[in-house]
Amino acid sequence: MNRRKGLHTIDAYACSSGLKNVNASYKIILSMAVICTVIAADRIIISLIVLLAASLATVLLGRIPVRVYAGFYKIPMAFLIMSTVAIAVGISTGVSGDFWIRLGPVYIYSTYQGIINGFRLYFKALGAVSSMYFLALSTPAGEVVFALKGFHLPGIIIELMNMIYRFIFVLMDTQASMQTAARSRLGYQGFKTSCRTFGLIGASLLVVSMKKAGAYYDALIARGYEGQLLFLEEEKPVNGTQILAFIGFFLLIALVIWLT
Amino acid sequence: MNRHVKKMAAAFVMIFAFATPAYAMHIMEGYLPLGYCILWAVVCVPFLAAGYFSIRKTLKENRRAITVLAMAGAFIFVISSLKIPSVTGSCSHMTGTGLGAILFGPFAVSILGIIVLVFQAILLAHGGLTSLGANTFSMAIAGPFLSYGIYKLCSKLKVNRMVSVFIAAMAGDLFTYCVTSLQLAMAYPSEVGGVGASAAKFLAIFAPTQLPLAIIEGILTTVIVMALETYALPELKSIGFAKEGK
Repeated sequence: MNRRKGLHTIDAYACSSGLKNVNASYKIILSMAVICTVIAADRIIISLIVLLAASLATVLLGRIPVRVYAGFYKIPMAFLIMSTVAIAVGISTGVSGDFWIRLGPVYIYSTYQGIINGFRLYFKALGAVSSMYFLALSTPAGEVVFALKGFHLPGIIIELMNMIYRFIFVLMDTQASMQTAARSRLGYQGFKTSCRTFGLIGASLLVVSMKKAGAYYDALIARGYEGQLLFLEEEKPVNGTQILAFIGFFLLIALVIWLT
Repeated sequence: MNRHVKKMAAAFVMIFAFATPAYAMHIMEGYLPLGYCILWAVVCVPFLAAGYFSIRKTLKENRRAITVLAMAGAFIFVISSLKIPSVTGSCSHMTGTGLGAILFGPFAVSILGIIVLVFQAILLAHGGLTSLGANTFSMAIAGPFLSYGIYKLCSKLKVNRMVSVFIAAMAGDLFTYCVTSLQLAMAYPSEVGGVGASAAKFLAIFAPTQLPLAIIEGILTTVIVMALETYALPELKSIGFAKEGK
């Protein structure tokens, strides 16, 4: 079971986070507001402040181990580096820009402005990601779905989200045992065998999921399901300190924007 | 000197080709300016509305479909989170939406796709919340609709079933990658050459990972459909897939 990565860890950390008793809507609104501020402000200093604040909040208040937390930043790194390089660097047939190297007939060039923009974008994305991680690592996905109900999403969508969230874990476990079974029978020797095994597992996973879907519906009906799953929701009122923290943080950001 | 640079460039490309991990084509959180986040979200609205009404109609006719749809969503999530076999040793993932579109239809996949993308953001830290609109358009709308269109066209033209599944899944994946590159290029046009030049750069930098990936996606989708037709004809009929084949 220690092979489970990503999915189980983020949700597991969220469930045991020190911030799990904070109102979910509050956390969603806070992190979304912070993300939008980072993107709209588009200044390195704001991005760094948010990165620092969100990391401290997640690690100190949420009690997520630093090493684990840092590990999550590896996930978007490839996209971040590749796209930022694509933005900062250009290709042309003649000499242009402030720096260039020649590669046969073409020049790869960059400009001071391009590099500065690249760095701005890099930190902006990191700042926004830190705020998204703050939400993901402090709020179990089930609670996010509850909170979305409060934002007036259609009932069918909420229902589907609730079910999909639960079924994901069921299918993940099913898939993991299929994979173990295939691995113990040398199912991943070489590329061709791997493809065949992947396909077989995909197909059996679909069959199993459709069978389970039927069984789950019968089970729901047997318990009086009428188109709405009702869960016990804990009430988590927002307290004064949290409202003050919210206002204080945005005042700080406004002050920094005004000063710079 | 020149050769040296070439070597460096080759090494540079290799690093990306090998080290590029999962989900390279999810636009990450915070990467798009707010205007574009809103633009792509608005573009998605008509498709999502159509998807919503199609799902609502299905559910009115048959209440049992709710667990089937939810399982389909979870299936797409799991398939797209699996490491796929690859020749280079890098680890990459399918989009899974081409398969979803062929099996469940593009309208249902648009709604399932956006839910899957939300869960990928908060459970796996892939993609993002403000970039949700852009990612939904490229992965849950553009790719699946093209896959479905090609699949339908091929079956009208009586192309071999497996060949059409392969082409549909591969084209859907390629289209997702092109749309994402275009989305990035529109937000960040080049100083020289504008959106066109910028799109070319994004296409070029993601090509080493995305082109083999599209072919592998095609192969795997075909293998899955083949296995399904062999072992699971009743299930395929129950979701309405095998009807037109008979």
